[in-house]
Amino acid sequence: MSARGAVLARLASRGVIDAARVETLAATVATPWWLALLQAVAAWIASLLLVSTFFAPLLLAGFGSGAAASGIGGVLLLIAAIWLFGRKRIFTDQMALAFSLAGQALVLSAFANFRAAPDIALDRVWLVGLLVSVVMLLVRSTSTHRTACALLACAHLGLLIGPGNGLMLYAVVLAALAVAAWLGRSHWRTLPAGLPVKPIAHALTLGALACGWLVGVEVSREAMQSLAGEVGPAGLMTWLYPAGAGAILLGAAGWLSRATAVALRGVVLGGATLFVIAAWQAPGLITSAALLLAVFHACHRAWTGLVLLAALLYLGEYYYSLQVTLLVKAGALAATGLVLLGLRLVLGRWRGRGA
Amino acid sequence: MSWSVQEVGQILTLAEAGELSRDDLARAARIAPLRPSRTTWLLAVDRLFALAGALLLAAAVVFFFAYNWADLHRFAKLAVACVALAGCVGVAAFSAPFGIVYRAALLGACITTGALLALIGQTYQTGADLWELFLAWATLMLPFVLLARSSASWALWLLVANLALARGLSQSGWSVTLGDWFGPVGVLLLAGLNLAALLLFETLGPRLLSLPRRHIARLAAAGIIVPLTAGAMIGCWGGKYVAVTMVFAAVIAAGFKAYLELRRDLVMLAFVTFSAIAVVTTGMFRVLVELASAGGEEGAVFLIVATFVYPLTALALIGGSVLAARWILQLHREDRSA
Repeated sequence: MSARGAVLARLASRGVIDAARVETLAATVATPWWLALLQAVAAWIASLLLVSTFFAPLLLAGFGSGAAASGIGGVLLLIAAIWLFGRKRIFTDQMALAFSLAGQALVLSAFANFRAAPDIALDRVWLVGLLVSVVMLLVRSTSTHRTACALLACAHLGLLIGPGNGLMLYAVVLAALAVAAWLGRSHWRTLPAGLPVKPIAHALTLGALACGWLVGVEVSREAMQSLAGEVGPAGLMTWLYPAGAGAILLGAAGWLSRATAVALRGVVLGGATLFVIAAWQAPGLITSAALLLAVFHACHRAWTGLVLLAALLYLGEYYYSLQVTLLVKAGALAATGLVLLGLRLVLGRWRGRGA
Repeated sequence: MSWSVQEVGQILTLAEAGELSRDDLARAARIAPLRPSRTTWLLAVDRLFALAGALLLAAAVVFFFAYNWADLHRFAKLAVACVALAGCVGVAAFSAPFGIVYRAALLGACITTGALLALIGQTYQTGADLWELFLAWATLMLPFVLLARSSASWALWLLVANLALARGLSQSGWSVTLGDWFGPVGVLLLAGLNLAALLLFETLGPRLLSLPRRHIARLAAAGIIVPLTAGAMIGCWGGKYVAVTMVFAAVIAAGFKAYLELRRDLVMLAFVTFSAIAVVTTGMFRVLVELASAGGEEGAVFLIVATFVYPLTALALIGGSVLAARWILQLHREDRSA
């Protein structure tokens, strides 16, 4: 029996749903992921051919590289995408996704190449990108498309903010929002229908992990500049990201342990504080820990695995970062590892008490 | 009574998809909270902290040696790699056979074997080509793979064996007679290697794997289908890849026979079907382009190809894919209801 079938049977046995509902829900056979993937590949190739069909006459007529052709083409592709999403088939959904992403890129390129205003600031291009992706996010479509649009919106906002302290603060805000979204997963159903909470939570989580990596690159670049005797555009407040990530971890640990005994809560908060201090030189680990607590509380197994994987990848990136020597990094990792092993020993006492 | 983590995840997913109402969710939450219980948290933390703590300490050791690497004598460097290999083998020797720790330790031994060979090559500058390193790695890790009987170890072995053959075809003396790894003979040899692996796992799978899973057979099938499909698509445009196209056709026919009638495997069947669609569509595209090119001017041909050939090909692709997906989904439903 599949996991879905087992849960439906359990819900029926506990009287949550009746047998007729179980039969109806069990009859809905979801398309297996491998078949959806193969269909997606075919749909993307077909979309590429159809988009080429659409643009070839424009190219021949000499409009192809112009902002007007890109803009009109982009808008038409977006309209086609919205129409295709209404068909509600795997194949058309994938084509619509391809059309939507291509349309958004064309609208953006049209705005960037708008000849009437050659001195247009890049910031305005990202602002247009942000607006378009937010509009497309609100269109009734698939979860994948909405996640992609939310992710694009996060990326455009990040580009609008630009590198430096702003990016660090943005990374902290993204992580805080992602943690808050997952901690409140059981309340999503009570929010207004049509609000794409889940896709936004997916995008925030991915954005928080990606921004953590970008902050590492930024700090590393600043370290290289200072080694070369250069001065960056503005003094980077390198404490900002670890402090923000630490506050999120402590907040999440505090919220999750709010109903436990004082002694256990003290151990949890004390352990989280020690973890933040030990991992201060590796702040990506602090963000990963906060996200891990949130997605585990939300019982999202895929994200639990992905956040652990992201932490492993972060260690790979951390090896090459230049802000501190490998010796300092080794010390930070050893201290963090020892904190975790020590915490395990302490928490083992509560486990032994049988909850 | 409490819901397991997997059950809560499924219940919330059903609710988010609109398949469970707010009232259903409230009823489920009244039976037990829709979040991990305290026992679940403590158990998960116990496992995670043990694993993450050990991993971070191991990473700290790696970082420490990397910091001091330049100052280490070459014997010390080799000793570090040998100790890592011995450590992996030692952990496997003292853990329960075919458990997670046993299989992970032997996978570690497989990876460390490659690292040790690379270190020997770097330290002593043996002059060996990359394919010789991959071949030696595949050979020397085979005992660990056979002992581990895990999908991960076999996947690594198959990858390294493929790399050895692909690099060997590019770097060895055989490249003069056989051509590069992506020449027609190279494609056929790569497909042949993976066919041998597929046949091995289809016949001796239960003896080679501790858990009866289809991952390696499917990976080997991908190793056959991917190069053959690419070769056959090039073959649609004529030239020396025509032989690959013919072998591809035979493999597709055999694949349908094997995985539809002899051993039902819908993943394999989907793989074979969509590969066939890719090659047939490419062939159709070629015929249409040739028809459009007959005696026309360059600009007009471009317009005809873009206006008629592209959408016709796209429609064929859409039609073929939709029909194939319906058929496979139908088989999937039949299998579930059986």
